[in-house]
Amino acid sequence: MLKKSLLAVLMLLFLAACTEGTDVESQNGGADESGNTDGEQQESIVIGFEGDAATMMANHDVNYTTDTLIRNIYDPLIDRDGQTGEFVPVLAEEWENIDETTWYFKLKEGVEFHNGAEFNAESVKYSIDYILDESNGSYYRSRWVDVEEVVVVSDYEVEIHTSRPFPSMIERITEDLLIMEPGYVEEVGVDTASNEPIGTGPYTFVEWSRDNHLKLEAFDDYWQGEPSIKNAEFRIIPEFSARMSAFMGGEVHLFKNIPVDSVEEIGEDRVGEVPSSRINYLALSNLVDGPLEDVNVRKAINHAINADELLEAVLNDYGTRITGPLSELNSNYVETEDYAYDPDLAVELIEEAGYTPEDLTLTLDTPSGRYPMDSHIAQAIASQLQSIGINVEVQVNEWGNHLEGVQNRETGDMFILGWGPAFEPQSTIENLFTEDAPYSSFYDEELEEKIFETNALFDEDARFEGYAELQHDLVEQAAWVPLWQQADLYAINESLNFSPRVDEKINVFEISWE
Amino acid sequence: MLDFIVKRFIQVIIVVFLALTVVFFLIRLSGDPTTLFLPPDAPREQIEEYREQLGFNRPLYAQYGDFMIDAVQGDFGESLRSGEDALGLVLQRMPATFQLAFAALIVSLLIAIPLGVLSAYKRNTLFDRIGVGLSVVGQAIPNFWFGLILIFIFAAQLQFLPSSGGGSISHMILPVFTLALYSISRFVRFTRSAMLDVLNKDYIRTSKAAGAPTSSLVMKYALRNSLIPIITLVALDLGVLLGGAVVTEVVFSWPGVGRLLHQSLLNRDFPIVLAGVFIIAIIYAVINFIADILYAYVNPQIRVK
Amino acid sequence: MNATEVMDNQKDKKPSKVKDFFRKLSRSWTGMIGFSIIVLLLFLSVFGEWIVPYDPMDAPLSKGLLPPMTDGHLLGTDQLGRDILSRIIVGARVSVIIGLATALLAGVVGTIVGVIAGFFRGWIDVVLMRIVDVQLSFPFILLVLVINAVIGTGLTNIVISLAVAGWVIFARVVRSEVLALREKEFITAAIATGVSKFEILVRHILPNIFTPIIILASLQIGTYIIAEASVSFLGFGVQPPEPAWGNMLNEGKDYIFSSWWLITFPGIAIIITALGVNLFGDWLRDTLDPDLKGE
Repeated sequence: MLKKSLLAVLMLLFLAACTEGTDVESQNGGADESGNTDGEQQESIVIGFEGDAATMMANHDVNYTTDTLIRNIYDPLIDRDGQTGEFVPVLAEEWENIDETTWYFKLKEGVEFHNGAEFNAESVKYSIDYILDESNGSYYRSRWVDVEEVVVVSDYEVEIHTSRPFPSMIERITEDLLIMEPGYVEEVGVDTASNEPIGTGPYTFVEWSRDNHLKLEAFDDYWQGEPSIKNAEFRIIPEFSARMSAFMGGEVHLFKNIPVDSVEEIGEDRVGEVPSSRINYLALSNLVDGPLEDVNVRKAINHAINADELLEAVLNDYGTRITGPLSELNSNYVETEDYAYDPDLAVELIEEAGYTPEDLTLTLDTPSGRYPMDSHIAQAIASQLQSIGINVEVQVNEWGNHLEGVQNRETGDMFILGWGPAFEPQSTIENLFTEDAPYSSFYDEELEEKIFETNALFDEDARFEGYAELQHDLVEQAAWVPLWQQADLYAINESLNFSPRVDEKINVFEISWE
Repeated sequence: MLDFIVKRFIQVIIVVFLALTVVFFLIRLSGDPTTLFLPPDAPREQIEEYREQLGFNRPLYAQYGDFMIDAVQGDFGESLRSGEDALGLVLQRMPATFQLAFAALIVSLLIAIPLGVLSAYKRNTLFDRIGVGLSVVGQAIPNFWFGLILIFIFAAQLQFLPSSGGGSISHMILPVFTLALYSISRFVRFTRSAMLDVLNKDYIRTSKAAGAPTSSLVMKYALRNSLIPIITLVALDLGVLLGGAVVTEVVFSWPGVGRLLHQSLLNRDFPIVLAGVFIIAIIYAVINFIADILYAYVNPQIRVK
Repeated sequence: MNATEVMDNQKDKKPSKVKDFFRKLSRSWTGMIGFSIIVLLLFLSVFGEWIVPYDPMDAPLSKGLLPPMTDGHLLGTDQLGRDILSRIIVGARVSVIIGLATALLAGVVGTIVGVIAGFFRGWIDVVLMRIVDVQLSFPFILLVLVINAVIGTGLTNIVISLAVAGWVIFARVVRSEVLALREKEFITAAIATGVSKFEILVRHILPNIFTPIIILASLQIGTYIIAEASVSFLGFGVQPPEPAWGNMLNEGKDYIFSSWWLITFPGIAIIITALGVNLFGDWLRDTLDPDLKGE
């Protein structure tokens, strides 16, 4: 008897759990299906996105996925032009560098937050103070520590005072800062504001189911005009195969990061391409004992790698070659000389350095799946170097391990890495080619001095001269093997108007149906 | 019986405590993740400062002590990346994982028990051989690979089933079958052998000899008597299903605990990993606990027989 | 105990042991299939590099993603133009190493723990079995993932993580075998006549638990091979350029729509292998120890 009743209870338990599950799912299902029928399509969009935001709080998580999502809810002071990367005023109408440590901003009037509160100088001060307040634990703070104070001059004017010269202030404002509503955050607290955000942006928050979807609704009183798309959903789909099949089945109208070999499958007319401001490169470490300390060997590696062939064969030409430390999108970019593919010269240079290619055994670390075809590129590079006799040991790493290895200088002679979004030379050159910076593992005492001198310059012409010289010097030193700007590839529904942006952002406000 | 339950309950607590301890030290040994969260251009002194703020520069035993004191109160700290309550984030995903695991369990039972019973009933016929053969093959198929193939066939080529995300019944079909594959294979074989055991028992042979119609006989005695071992196996397999859900959730972008843990391992977001370990260890322990009680009920009867 | 008899029989008729093995094997066609697959696998893992049609590491970029049966590539080529068949052949070695090394490591550790717990009983048994419980309170694959996230990826680390996650099952089985043996007459008799504990252990216990260990190992190897592939798929496995079936799947998963052969063939290789090992393990269990039949 006991046995039977126990059985019955167990069965009931399973059934109950099952029905409960069905309930949850049918609720979701009901909500999910909007935006899929043709009648509603003109109003709605579903975007497949590879990762979820960590938080809906602005100015907190330094991460491209978080930033991309919440930029539809919050506005910046200054944005970039989606095609050229130039600064575009948004909530700041104009700005001026008063002296080395003071920046002035004039703000837009008549802008409202989603809750009706008014945007003004206080909101700017509050947003920057949020970053600076240690107790908030914002990961942006490391970039903003030199900011001493934000001064509200009038309702629509602010000044930012820094403790040290801060030439890249506009860059920081553009990349990092989004404007929050002080009254709202104060009222509901950070925990709630992190889940139910209020901004001045084109879309208001509707629902966020972590790792599942973020639903947004058009903010009809948006100061730049009513958004054309009324309902936007970001659906979080990390695996490419799932993203792709959702797109092919019409469930998803737009997604980013198509592996180059799948372009054909999607159809070229449904693929949007833009050269990203992110560059990929092969770092040649001269901080590790070994043959790469010799400039001739570094030059030889540059000559022995056929980047054009890699680009064509592995990336199907989706990418834009670079020859120096910067991409064309950077301010102060100058064209530098290219190390032509010349295996014979490479062998000669190696012999000049006192080695034979067969003497050399180099390690090459690469991440897997972080940059387009990264681990394949590494294996192809190894194969090219092996063809002149250099022995290459490729080590493919999971991304977290790779980054840790690079930062702790535990990688060996060479590694693959990307850098970006990069629009101005200071952060790139300073973070890549100085002794403390681990990301290229190349260091030259004289060059480092020059880098710091140039970074401190405020005069535009002198800055240009300085960076131009640095770019040539770095190429002359064969500081690394420049590869290419990534091409960002988007799958775009055939009746959607969308131009991919160079800064990898997806602003739904700029999208419309035909 | 009560004595047994209390004893097992204390064991559950010890098991969860030890599991947390081991995983805590394991992941703290892998270095600290501060730099993964900071912008790549963060200066060295800044990294140090964050490290201090997150408590990674303190001695290991002190970190462990604080962690345990907080954990006992249900506080696993905040996600390193988002600053949200780690346990809350894990609990949020539980319904999605349970939904997937239970659905897979139900599907496995609905498919496997009839198949297993029929196989036993038609022992050594072609039907039996094919059934057993398929279940042997089914156990050899990696479930992520099966999932990819299902996506390729049903979502990409035929385009009649969605491949990702939570939501409607149709969203569940591919992930549920992917997850259920292994259990179906196991249950078929197990049901079959449990049935055969009972069918070979004396009293069945006797009633067979007495001329009871075979099919009703199978239903009446054999199935009922083999259900207890089957249900016990099912209870144990729910744990296996929850484990298999990690891979399945990743393949189908299913918003459950498995995917959260995989993502958190990639991000080195340790508080979430620890909170997830805690929840999974508890679920596992409770499932084993129930299975043990079941055995305790069943055993005396077996002895009598 | 049947195992004892089998053992003793085998000792008596050493010359015909091999013959006996094949005679029994030939009676079971599933056992034959399993055995043949294992022999093929071992052959490939030892001689694979000499019989490959192409160098599995050679990457002629211009010949990337050729479909099967083109240009002499029976199973096609991957993104870098490497021959899939050659990589599958050479990749057999990784699976064999993973399966055998893990079973050996997990088996040795598990056996030591199980023997100590079962033979000496008392507090050490309680402590060891609690540890086993702790581990069993955690999904196998998740444990392997956590360990690899901590100690890193690569062949050695995978074997370590699989063994760390896998030894408990050996410990449990060995302990219960030892417990059962202790009650057997010939052992109680030996204890009563004052034979030293060490001698009992070496002369009576160890030889008699050997068979169940071998059976269990053969049944676990398939699990290890599949687990390695899963962990590779999640990005924590044996890393390229070393050809392994798991990382071939991982590298090929994004090509599922354009080049189906990249994930199809390595997947089939894994299935055939796991199937072969499982069939052989089943046969071994049924033949050597009918008592273990069922679950």
